[in-house]
Order: sequence, then C-alpha cells, then structure tokens
Amino acid sequence: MESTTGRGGSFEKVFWLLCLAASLQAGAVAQIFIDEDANAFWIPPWHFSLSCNLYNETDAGINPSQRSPGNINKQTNKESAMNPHNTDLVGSGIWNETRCHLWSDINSQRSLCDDKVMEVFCLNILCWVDGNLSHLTCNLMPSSRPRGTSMLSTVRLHYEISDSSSEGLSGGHREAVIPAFESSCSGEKALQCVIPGINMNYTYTLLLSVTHHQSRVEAPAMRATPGDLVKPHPPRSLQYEMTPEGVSRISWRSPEPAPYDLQYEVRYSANATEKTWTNVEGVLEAYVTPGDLKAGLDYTAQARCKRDRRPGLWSNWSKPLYIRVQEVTYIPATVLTTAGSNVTVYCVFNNRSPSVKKVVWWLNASEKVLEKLYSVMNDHVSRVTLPSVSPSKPRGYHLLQCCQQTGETSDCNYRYAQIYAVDVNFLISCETNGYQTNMTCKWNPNGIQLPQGSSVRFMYRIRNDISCDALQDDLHGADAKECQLGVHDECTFQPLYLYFCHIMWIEIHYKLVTVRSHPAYVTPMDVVKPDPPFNVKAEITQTEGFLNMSWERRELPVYDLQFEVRYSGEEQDRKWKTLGNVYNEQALMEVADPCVVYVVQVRCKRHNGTGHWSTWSSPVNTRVNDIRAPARGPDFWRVIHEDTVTKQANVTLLLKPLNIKEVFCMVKGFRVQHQTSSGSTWSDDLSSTTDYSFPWTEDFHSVSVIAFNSLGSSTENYILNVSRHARKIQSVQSFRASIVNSSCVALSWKLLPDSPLPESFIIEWEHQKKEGGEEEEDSFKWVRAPSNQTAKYYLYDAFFVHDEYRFILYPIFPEGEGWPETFYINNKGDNGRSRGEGAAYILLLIIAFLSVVLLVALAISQHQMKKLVWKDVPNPNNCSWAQGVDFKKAETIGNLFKHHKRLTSGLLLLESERISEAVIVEKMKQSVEEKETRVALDVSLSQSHEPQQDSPPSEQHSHTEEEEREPVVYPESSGEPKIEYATILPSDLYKQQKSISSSSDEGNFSANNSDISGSFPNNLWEVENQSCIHLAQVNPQMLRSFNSSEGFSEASEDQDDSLLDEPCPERDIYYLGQVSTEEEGEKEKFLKEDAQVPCQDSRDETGHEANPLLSCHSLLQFKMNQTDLPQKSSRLYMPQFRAVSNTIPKITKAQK
Amino acid sequence: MLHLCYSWPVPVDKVKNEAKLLAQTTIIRIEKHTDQFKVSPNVVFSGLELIPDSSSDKALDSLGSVEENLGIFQEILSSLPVDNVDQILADIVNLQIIIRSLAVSIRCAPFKSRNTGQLENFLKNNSTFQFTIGNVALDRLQKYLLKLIRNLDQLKKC
Repeated sequence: MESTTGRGGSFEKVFWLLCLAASLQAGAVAQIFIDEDANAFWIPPWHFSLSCNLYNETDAGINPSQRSPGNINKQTNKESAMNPHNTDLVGSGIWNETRCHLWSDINSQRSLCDDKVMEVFCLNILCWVDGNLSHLTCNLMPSSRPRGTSMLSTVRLHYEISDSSSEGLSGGHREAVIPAFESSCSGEKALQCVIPGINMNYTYTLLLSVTHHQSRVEAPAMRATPGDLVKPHPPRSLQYEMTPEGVSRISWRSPEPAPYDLQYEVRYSANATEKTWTNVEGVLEAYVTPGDLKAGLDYTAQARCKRDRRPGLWSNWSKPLYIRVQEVTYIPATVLTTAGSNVTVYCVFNNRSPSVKKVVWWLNASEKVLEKLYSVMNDHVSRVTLPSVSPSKPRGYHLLQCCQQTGETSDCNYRYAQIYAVDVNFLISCETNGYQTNMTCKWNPNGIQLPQGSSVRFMYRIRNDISCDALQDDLHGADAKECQLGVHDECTFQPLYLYFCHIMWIEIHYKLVTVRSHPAYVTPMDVVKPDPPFNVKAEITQTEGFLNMSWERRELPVYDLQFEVRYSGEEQDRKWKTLGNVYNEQALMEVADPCVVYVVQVRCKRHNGTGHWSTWSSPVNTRVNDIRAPARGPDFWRVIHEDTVTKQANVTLLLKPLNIKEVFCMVKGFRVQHQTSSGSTWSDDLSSTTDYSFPWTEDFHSVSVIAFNSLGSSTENYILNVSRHARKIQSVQSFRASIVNSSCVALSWKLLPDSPLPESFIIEWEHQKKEGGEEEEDSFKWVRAPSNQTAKYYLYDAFFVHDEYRFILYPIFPEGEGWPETFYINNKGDNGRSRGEGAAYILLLIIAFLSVVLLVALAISQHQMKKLVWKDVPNPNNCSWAQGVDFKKAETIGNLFKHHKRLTSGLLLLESERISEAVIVEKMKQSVEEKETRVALDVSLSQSHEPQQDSPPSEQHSHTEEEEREPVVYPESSGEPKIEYATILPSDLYKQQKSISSSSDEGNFSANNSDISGSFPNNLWEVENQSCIHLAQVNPQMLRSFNSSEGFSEASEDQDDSLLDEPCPERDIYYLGQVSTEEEGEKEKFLKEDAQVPCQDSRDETGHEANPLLSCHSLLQFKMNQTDLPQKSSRLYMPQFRAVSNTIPKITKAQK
Repeated sequence: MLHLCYSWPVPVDKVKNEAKLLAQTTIIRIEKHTDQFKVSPNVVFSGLELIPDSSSDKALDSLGSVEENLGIFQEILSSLPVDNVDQILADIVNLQIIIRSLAVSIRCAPFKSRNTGQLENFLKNNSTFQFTIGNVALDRLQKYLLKLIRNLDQLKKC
C-alpha cells in the first residue's frame, strides 16, 4: 500500500510511525515525521488521551518529508511523562494549523477526552503487554462526544523497534495490522492495535495517523517499554480453608509466567446481590486470612495482582471463589489412612458462641469417643485422636462428629469428618503363562471404598540381586515404578525375568496422603500355569471294560509335571470322579459302568515345586460299543393268575434288570422261549424289560428268557417250568424270618434230611396291608437265593418294624417248584407263626380268660340280683302314666305304644341325648358250667346265615320257631354254644320310647312292657365312657341280631354283611349300657355299688332268671385291653332299631 | 323379604382413607428401612432447618402445605445417595397425588410449588453428608406422616 522511509542522519534515532489512511471509500495516504527522541511520549501503564484537529489534505498536500521537526511539540523529559500527576500537554503535532495533544492522568479512570475541549476528535488509549509477555496491545477508544468522531474512518499504526541496551537501530519500520473487523473505525467500538512477538528488552516507538475523508491527523510519537506495561494473568486456584488453629484462609496460586515479584489485592463480599467488597491490598504472600468471616454466610472472594514496586498494570480479577462458612469445620474433612492407624482430627466452631469445653465427640453417631482421647486447643477448636481405627466397612468410612453436649443430649451439626480406614491386606496374585513369556498379576480390591479424588496405583520393583526369600519388607526403593494396568486392572510383565524377584504393592493417593499395601514378592518361575495337556484320548478297553486315557504335554515348562484326570458320565448333573497324582501321560482305571459314554479331562501342574494347575483340557468323550454277546439272560420269577370260573390261567414273568457287567455292553432286547408238554416251541421278543405275560393252557409249560445284542444271544439263561399235575417236592423242614433292622431281614431255613437239594430258592416277601388298606395285586418283591444257603440269608429292603410281612420260600428244582413255606412277621410279638395260627392262639387265650371272668361274675351277680333287684322294682301302677292301665291285658301294651306314635325316634334322641341309664342283660338257658370257653365271639357268620339275617323283623315272628332252630356249630368253635337270648330288645321305637319315658318320669327302670331294662343309649355308643359290656354265650343263629343290637348303628345291611363276612376272630359281642348326663352321678354310684342296680325287669318272673350283673367298670376295662373297638363303638346308636327284629320273638317269649 | 341396603362411601372419605393407609404403609417402610446408620438416641442433628419439621404441636393447616412438604421430602430423598428409599419415594409421590385429588375435591386452585433453589443448592453442596441428612429426613418424614394421619380429617383448607 505504501512505504515508510527514514531520512538522513538527523533522523537516525527517530522512530517514526506512519499512519496511512486507507479510507473505506478512497484510501488516502499521509505521512508524519517525528524526528527528536527527546520529544517522544512515553506510554504510561494507564489510560491516556489523544485529541487532535484535522487538517485539510488538499491544503496540506505536501510531501511528508517536508514536515518540520520544529513543528512538533516535544516532550522534554521522559520521567515527567511517567509522572502520574502530569496532566499537562505532553506532546502535540502541528501541521497546517492542526494540533494534537497527548494527555495522561494516572488517577483518572475515566476518559480524558471528556475534560478537553477539542475541535476534531479524541482517543482514549490504553496499552499493555499480555500475561504471556508476547503481545503489546493498544486499545483505542474514540470519544463519542465531539462532532467529528463519527467521521473517523481509518487509523493506522506504525512502530519502530530499538534495543534499549544499545544505541543503534536494530529493527526497521514495521506496521501493525489493524484487524479488519475494526477497520470501520466508527461508532463507539474500540480499535485494538496488536504488536506481536515483542521483546521485553526492546523499546517500541509508535505513531498514529487518523484519516477521515480528505483530512488526516498525525499523533506525536509514543514510546513504550514492554516491561513497564505488563498486565499479568490473574491469580488462580483460589481456595478457602480453615487452619487447625481455627483461622480462615483464602489462598491462591501465582499466575504463570511471573518474571518478577507480584503484589496482590483480595476482595470479598458476603452479599451476592449488592456486593460490598472488603479489600485487602498490598498482599505479598499468596494468601490472606480474613478474620471477619461469619458462620452461616455465603461469601464471594476474588484476587488480582500486578508488578510489585514497579510500573505495571493490574491483572483482571480472578474467578470468584464462593465460600460457605460452616458452623463446624473438620480439619481434615476427609482422612485416608490404613486400618489400625491413629487418626487426628480438629473441629472448629466458626460461630464461636459455644464453649468447646462442652464438646463431645461421636463416632458414627452411635459410639461416644472416650473423653481422654480429645482435648481443647483454644476457645473454639477441639482435637481428637482415634487410636487404631478399625476398617470402615461396609459404609466405606467412619463418621466423626464433634457435638455440643447439653445434659444427656449431644447436639451435632449434620456435617462430619470422613475417616477412610483401608484394610491394606490386598491379595496380589500372579500367573506366568505356559510359555513363560509373561506374568500377569492382579490384586483384589476387597470392596474398598475410597474418597473422591483418590487414585490407586499398582507399583512394583524388580530386584535382580537377591531372591524373594531373602527379602524382608523391602518396599519403597527409589526405583519403584507404576504399572500401567490393562483393561481388567491387571499388570503384565513382559519380557519376563523368570528368576528375579518382583515386588508389588498397591498405593492409594489422596491429596498429600499415600497409603501402601503390604508388598507381594513373586518369582515368575514359581507361578507358572502350564498349558493343559492336549491330544487327549479316551476309550473303554474291550477285554476289561476299563477306561483308558492318554494325552500329551507341552514342551514348556521343561520341569516335570503331575497330572490329574477327571471323568464323568454324560448325565446333566455331572459328578466328576478324579484320579490324581498321575505322573505318566497315560491312565487306566476301572469304571462302574463300561457301557456309558464318559467325558474325560486332564490337567497338569509342576511336580515337586510351586506352580498353578493348568486349566482342564478340552473334554473328550468315550464311545460305547457292543463288546461281546450278553453272557447271561435275565433272572425272572412268575405270578400265576387263574380264573376260577373260566379255569384259564395267565403267567406273568417278572424280570430282574441285568447286571451291566453281565451284559457287556448293550442289550438290544429280551426274547422268551416257550416249550409246552405238547412239544410245541416258540419264542417272543419282549417289548417290556420288566414283565411279560402269556396264557398257560397246557399241563406243562417251560419258558426261558434270553438277552441278545448285535453280537449274539446269552447262553446262560434261567428256565421256569410250571406244571398243573406234577407233585411238588417237600424239601423245606422249617423256615423262619426275623427283622434285624429297618433295612434288613434275616431268613433261615432248614431242609428235610432226605430231600433233594434245590437248584436255588426264590424268596417272596410282601408287606401285609392293615385293615382297610387296599391289597395291591402282585405287590410282593422277590429275590433268588443260592441253593447252598444253609445259614442265614439277609434280605435288604425297607422294613417297618411295626408292620406285618409275609415271606414265602420256594425251593426251585430242575423239574419245577417245590412246596413253598410261608412265614409271617407281625408287630404282636408272635413272630415265627403263621398269622392264622397266631390268631387262633390269641383267640383261645382271650376266650378262656373271658369265660372264667364271666362265670365268676355270673355266679356272684345272680345271687345279688335276686335279692336286690326285685324288691326295688317300682310298681308301675304308681306312675302317672300308668293310672288306669291294666297291665294284665295283652292289648294294653299296644295301647301304650300307640300313645307315643307321633314321636319320632330321631327327635327324641336328639333332644335327650343322654336320657337314661340302661343295661342289657341276658338270660342264659344253660348253666354257666355248660358254656364252652370259646364263645362264638370270633365266629364269622357263614353264608348259610344270610337268609336268616335278611329276614325282615316281624312282630309275628314266632318265637317258638326261633327256639326250635338248631344251633349252628362253627368249625372254629371248640364247643357248641347253647345260649339263647334272654335279653329282650325292642324292635321299634315305641317300645324304646316307652321305656325311656318311664325312666325319665320315675328315675328308675320300667318293666311294664318289656323285660329289658331300657338299655338304649340315646346318642353315641361310647364304649370307653359309658358302655357296659357283657359277654354272652351266643347262639350262632342269633348272632346277627345280637350284632345288630350292639350299636353299630351306622352300619347298613351291606356293612353288616361285610362285617359278618370278615373272618375276624377278634370280634366280640357285647351288651352295652349307657347313662344319661343327668344321672351320671347315679351312674357312678351304679358302677361302684355294682350289684345294687337292677338290670332286669322285676316282673319277669317266668322267663327271666336274674342274671348276674357284672360290674360295667371292670368288664369294660377288660375288654378294652383285649380288643380294639373304638371306631365301632363310637357309631351312632339310633339305626340299630332297624336291625334288632330278630330279638322280637325273644321279647314275646320273655313276656310270657 | 328383607331388602338389602347398599351405600357407597363418599369419594372424599375413600380418598382420605387411602391416604391414611398409604401414610401408614410408608411409616412402616421407614421403620423397616435397613439403614446402616444407626443413631444413638442421645444424638440430635442440627443445621437442617430446610427439612420440614413437624415436631411442634401445631396442626397441619392446609392441603397445600402438605403437598408442598411432601414435595420437599421427595426432593431431599431423591437428591441424596441414600440406599433403599426407592419405594418410600414412590409412596410419597403417590401420597402427593392423593392429597392433590383431595384438594381438587374441595375446589382448591392448583398448587404452585415454591422455589426450592435454596434447598437444591444445599443438597448439592452437602451430598457428602447423606447419612445424617438422610437420617433426619426420614425421621421427620415419619413424624410428618403420623401427624398427617391424625389431622387429615380436619384438613379443610386449601
């Protein structure tokens, strides 16, 4: 655009600036010459002003070289220019009556242009060197006040550099580039001229030229010394802290670079909106300790700096620091230490009001710190030292608080100190790879929690001069290095010094604190983890069925290895079996089942030395093949089902599973071969492996079961012969069984002396179901015992000691089965006898005993009854209901019954559940001496009795016929029972009702219409409580009716049948009595006084002998000990009336 | 033949009952809160005036204040890194909605939440002390819910 040229020797030391106006419209050129160094204006480190008059360029269109130096108003003294109080004209340029003035006032922070009367324009100028000491910047702010300001179009700055340490020019004319965006030079915007790359040792001369339209003005020359114009960066990293003495402290860091000493100024304010700053000036240290900060207030603090004791500019204010003065401050607020260390914490009360003498310390708000552990530092500071701090788990840190104690209550500010006590027993483990080229080490953080801002480092040292064994806590050498952890926080050493000692530890850094873990000493050769064996092979040997395995090892590590083999079946829930201490690369082992697929793995580790196990090798599976044909067919036994009607028989074979060793290895199936007496043979393949059925049609049938696979069929097979007419050989003399424990039964048998020796024995055993239990067909188990078994044979199964079992011993001959022997085991202590024999024996004892008791009781009571009963029978004519009734007339009874016809038995019984006490007595036709001891209590009624049972009860039933019936003789009975019913049981409710009402009215037994004494329990037939039981010798023909009257009231006819059909020898027959609630006292009396209570109608003089009345108590107790009746005796009584019709003839007879 | 009489609860009563049940549930949750920070009964924490404290005998005065205080508790518990308070927070939000529906039923104007900048700033600057602040907040919330249960039937004002 244009050039600036120096002129002649007189201008050698002149730095001149040429300001050219590059107008936006035209771009006019002007030049200014300043020739005298002494007249230069020294730029101060504060604002100064330039005010000028513009001149007309057309008038002044001369060469700049023609400018007269004398026309420039010279600054005579540099020092005076730097005088802050010098507000006089310091320089002016006159050109064609144009004058420029530079004004400087250190105290004036406002524009000097405002104070000057200028004709054309005025610029406020501030020049400074930035904090990086790299640029000289001048800020030119046009004044808006004068009229010509808006006319400014272009400003141009020229500068000249000279070395202030020498006299000559060292530079030349340079031109500062004015940023293009500022080139408009209009309005209020400031113009900024930047001189880059300044040298702090040089002096810079600047000349400004301002052009507007056709006019321009040139400012006097200005000189700048960069060192005097530095504006440093502001202080940084301001922070607030509290000293252990309780002093607030605001500190910062000096700006960088800072080539000379700095002084600081700090200001802070408590009010965020209307800041009233409190300034602290002349600070030479990098901190202040404001003493007037109040607790609970928020403060803003800033700092700035400038060159100390020399010219310079103040830096900008630093970033604000916001301070919240807490009521309680802990020093330090966060402590990181190792568990077990002592920790000291200070507590400062900033509000100063409470007395620290009343301070108590709490740990975790739950544990009061011992008073001797803390002390008072001054009036608002307390200090505590916690000894041997425990690891802070699981919260991560301990809470420590100092609180004001008031009475029993501790007032604690919500703030607390955090004590991170780290358990530094970190486990560092290393593994060297199989090729021994690297070692990887990991550490277990053990769930530690660290304060925010802390860092963890994995440190190590490698010692080549000493073995790990000799090292004792050699940790913090100068050559410690930090390991750069991998993605999984592991440290890898590569390449590896196999025999150097590697020392490793963990460091935790927090602020200025470093916590170190215990070191780990590792020699890489000791932690080798070999690669697993490879090329593993596994197979089952064909001859022995063993598992044979082989494998290979890697070349490295070179030392000896030991191997471990594990194998398992292919089942889902894999259970490994392990073979350890294998030193060869092959192993052979016996397996339980050679016919399944095995999974095999191998691993290895150093033999006779430290090292890790390798991982398991890849699993290898064995193959299953048929090794040879099955050796033996399955053992089996039979169950024969014969239909008695069709005479057809089916035989079911029950197969035992084959022993896998006998099979070798796979059985494809089973085949049954048949041979009959007619000579026909055939075979069937089994679809089931457990059972097989076939019809047995011929006299003789022989079967054998064969196992086969792809290699052939079994040659040793069991044969079963069944024959209908063959005589079974009797070979077993005795057979016994006894339960050893819940899982074992001992069996023993003895053979007849001259009998042939069986091939084997089949033992069946079966759990005998309890009464009511459903019998399962073929629920027995069986086993084959060898024939040479002469001593005990132990049978293993689950046996319940208190249950019954049946054992059957079948001798097996080549011709077929021998004669079986049976043995029962039950819980009644009669082991050794068959159940039928035992039951008969028991029954015999019971009957004998009962008979004796009965005889004695009858003998005693007969006499007593004669004397006591008859005289106490009330005269029915005295009863209100009997007034006017002629009891001698036969129809009277019927009338009496009709009288109560509307009553229902059910209601009656429900309403008066326990109305009366009644005793059923019997009449014995024969003398006691004639009775047999075996009463027909255990006699089951045969089918021949059914018609009699089913005969409907009838009033017209002839008692004569009843008498004339022949008593049935029961085979099981040892004697013939010749007992008739003497007891009269009412057949309908009317009679009962009458009897009951009589009892109720008179409180005694009524005998008006019946020879029974009203023995009708009203509700439950509770033998245990109230029943009076009499034994009786029973005519079998009457047994059914007798049973019907026992009170098995819920039993329907069918049930009766079932009961009768059941061959239960224990069933007894009873007379039962029951007392009402109201008369329970009497009952007691009755029971005690025994014979005092009449049990028969006193009026029955003809047909009734006074039977001895037994004591209900004694008899009841006896029966309960002998029989099991509760269920039956608890049945409802009411329906029995439907079943007692058979006794009606007796009633008639008795009434006669 | 007997005629059965049916009556449906008044919605307000139903809503109040739900609020009480929910408050009781929350109280139980707070009691069961398995905080590892067990505080001695002799220790009282101070400096937490921003957390609503209903220990005074003064009854709850309006539904709006209840809604506001529940909001403050929600803000506190959601801001602090306290464990196992998610369900309690959900209960509080639910209870807030119920209280709002109560307010709507008596034609209260929508509640304008107060500026909680100070509280947010406090929680932000003091999250380090979550154990003490969380403990106090849950304790005061429990007391506040108890008072709410007692006073809810008398709360007629917006």
